[in-house]
Amino acid sequence: MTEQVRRSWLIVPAHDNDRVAEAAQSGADVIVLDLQDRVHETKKHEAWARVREAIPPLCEQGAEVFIRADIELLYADLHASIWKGLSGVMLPGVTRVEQVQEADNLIAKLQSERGVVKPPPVGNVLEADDPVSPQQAIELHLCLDTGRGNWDAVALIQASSRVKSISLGRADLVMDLREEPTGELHLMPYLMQRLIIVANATGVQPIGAWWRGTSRGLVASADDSLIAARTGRQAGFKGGICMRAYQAAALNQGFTPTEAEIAWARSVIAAFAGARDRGESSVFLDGERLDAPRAAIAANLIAWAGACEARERGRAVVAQTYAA
Amino acid sequence: MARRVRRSSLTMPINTPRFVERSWTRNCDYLNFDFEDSVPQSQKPYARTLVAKAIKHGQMGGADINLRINCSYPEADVPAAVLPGLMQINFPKAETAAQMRHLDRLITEAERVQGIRPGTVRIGANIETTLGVANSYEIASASPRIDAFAGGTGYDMSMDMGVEMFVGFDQFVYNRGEGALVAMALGLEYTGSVYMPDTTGNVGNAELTRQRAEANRQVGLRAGSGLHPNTVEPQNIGLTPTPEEVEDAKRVLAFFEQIDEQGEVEGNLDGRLVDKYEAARAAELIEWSEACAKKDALKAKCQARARELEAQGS
Repeated sequence: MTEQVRRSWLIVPAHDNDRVAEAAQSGADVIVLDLQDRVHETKKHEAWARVREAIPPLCEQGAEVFIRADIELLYADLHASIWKGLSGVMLPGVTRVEQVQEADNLIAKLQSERGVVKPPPVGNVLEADDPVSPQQAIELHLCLDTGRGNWDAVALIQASSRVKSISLGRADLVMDLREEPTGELHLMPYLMQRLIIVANATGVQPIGAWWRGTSRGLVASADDSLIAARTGRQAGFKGGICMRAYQAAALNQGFTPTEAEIAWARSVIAAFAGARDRGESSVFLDGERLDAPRAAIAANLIAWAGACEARERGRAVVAQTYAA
Repeated sequence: MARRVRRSSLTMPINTPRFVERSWTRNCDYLNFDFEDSVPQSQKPYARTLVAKAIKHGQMGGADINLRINCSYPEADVPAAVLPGLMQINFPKAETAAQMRHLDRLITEAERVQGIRPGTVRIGANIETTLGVANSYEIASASPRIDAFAGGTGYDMSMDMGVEMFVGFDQFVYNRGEGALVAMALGLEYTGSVYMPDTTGNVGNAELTRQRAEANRQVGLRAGSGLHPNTVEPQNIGLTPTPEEVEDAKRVLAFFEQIDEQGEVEGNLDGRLVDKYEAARAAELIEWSEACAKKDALKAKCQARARELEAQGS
């Protein structure tokens, strides 16, 4: 299965029409309509009322749409937002298996009742709607932004087959764990590596960008966002969360392999294929010793680059369709 | 329970009178009297007879009193250590939850015998071996007397890992991370420290101690420790928020209240983004600053009284 390409996750308050309209034009792979932190308590009802109609126009621009739910207001948040076009639900502050199960059950119920399915990869067409098919199950993204959530990460991920990606959530954006004198972020080397290991061990996507970036995510410039995305990709992440529309393009770019990387990967694959044909298990290329795992890394890069390209094609196809 | 202030301390052998008798003059937030590595084996039984006096000396300075016992025979050490006025038993080389449960039972029995309210005495679980690191979560969650936790560093840890202690980089990244995450997961105070490059191992380096304390304060860590009197004031000062920081925190809080009333979740204060998390951080800083001020006042009062008594020659 090709991996989902979700390089940029742009979070916007669901009730803020201007920010939502701006997000639609941002080129973000995923637009997350927020019902949680960025919506004031007094404005929740506005956000709930807006979500359903906000989703389709975003899909028509070739974005996938998630919502960010408030774990304490799950029932209201999911009732307001499990509608056509929604791909997933981001769950911040998750600490208990029961919370994940509750979200899973409620989404299943609403999908069935309303005949809602997760849209296919952007630009593809669905053969038939089947609200109970695993392929069309609306996803969960777990934000492990608490100590407890991180400690129990594996159990939380395994609590629902809908979980397809994880992040440190807010902690990735604001790096609350503040910088140490050595320039490292307090706890981050450990926590981020742990997140990447856990994600790969359980088969979900690790999302995170800002650790080792040159500035923190909330208001980082486009240039800093690009650096954050590049280093994030090198550390093992597949995408990053952002809060500003101008950051989305930079994240897309940084999480996409460069032409030079692709060219190098091709030459690695070619050189190794040559060695294999000669009956050798390794070969030197410009001083680097290539073996089967090295060639496999290069193949992964090519596959990821292809998936990124397909994602952009999908965006163009959708945009054309709706413009016509 | 009021927030514990433990910025500075001295660990000292309980059987060395010149340290113990002057301990109150050091202005430590807490003192750590030792039964363990700084006491020769032949002196252990004698050391157990010195606790009441040590508590009295230490309390003259307004310090909380901790006592480090030996991990091999808590049955002998705990009944001698748990006396009125003791805040915490430190258990070195903690490796299993079973050790903590056993220690908890011994303390419970000693509290009963001594007429101390149940649950008064805290447990400090010192992680100093690889097995301890591996069992961190089980150890930290084994007793409600454990309210603070940190990962394994130090000489014993170095020895067990087969590495040098002062290598100039952080060879304990995993230990620290695991300790901090366990503390966060269980809602305990993380009493660890940030890493500062140090290749000398000089325990009395006031400047390095000050730098480390400042760095700890800036990342929100609040606890210190020490072996040399030179480290006490640098930590008392370095871990206490500056007046400018407190002022700034008050501005952030006031600004957040204002935007919150207007139905906004975030705002821009002099180029800084302020939201409820920044506000919470500011509130914590103010609370911490108040706790430090309270502790400082208590220590000053106790020490003034002790000096007066000393002047009277008693």
